[in-house]
Amino acid sequence: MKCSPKTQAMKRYQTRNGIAMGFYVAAILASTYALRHHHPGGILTVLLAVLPSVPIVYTILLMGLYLRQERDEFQRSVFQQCLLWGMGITLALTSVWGLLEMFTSIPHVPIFFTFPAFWFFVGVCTPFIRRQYRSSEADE
Amino acid sequence: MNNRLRVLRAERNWSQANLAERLEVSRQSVNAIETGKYDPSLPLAFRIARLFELPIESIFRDA
Repeated sequence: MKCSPKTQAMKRYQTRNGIAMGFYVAAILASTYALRHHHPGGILTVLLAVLPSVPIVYTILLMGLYLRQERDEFQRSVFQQCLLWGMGITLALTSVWGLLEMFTSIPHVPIFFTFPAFWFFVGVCTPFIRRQYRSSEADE
Repeated sequence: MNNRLRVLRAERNWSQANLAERLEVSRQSVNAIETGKYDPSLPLAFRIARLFELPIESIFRDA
């Protein structure tokens, strides 16, 4: 099956999201390096610690912006399903893991990993969700 | 919901891509609607009806 061109809204979303992810990785590396090697202390420590959350919040805003700008309702629906599956699996896993941490001796996983886990599960679910709409009868 | 989109499109010799362009949606959207995997919203159903110059109920039927 040939892939159709992406919608303008999706192209815009992916470009912006890619840039935000680049900033996210750069901010993580920069903050980690600065905090571990320079020990700034005080308000600077707090600012460096929360610096990577800026692109995270931005990507969440981008999702909402995409959903508002996408004119193709089917594509919007598929995107929403992918996000819902990602959120559902992440919430379920983090809830179960949190309870296990409270009552058993399993290792602690920082909450920081919730966001990458969410995107990981969105990425895993997307091909399965898209596949259910494929048809062997589709013409080009 | 059943629909006659594939038949109506074939009568006009339009490909899914042609129809998608006329409706300003993706080809996947047309394919998903034709195969009954996705039910269009009322505004999109009206757009389809206007394009084929037919009443909505003659294109879409409750399954």
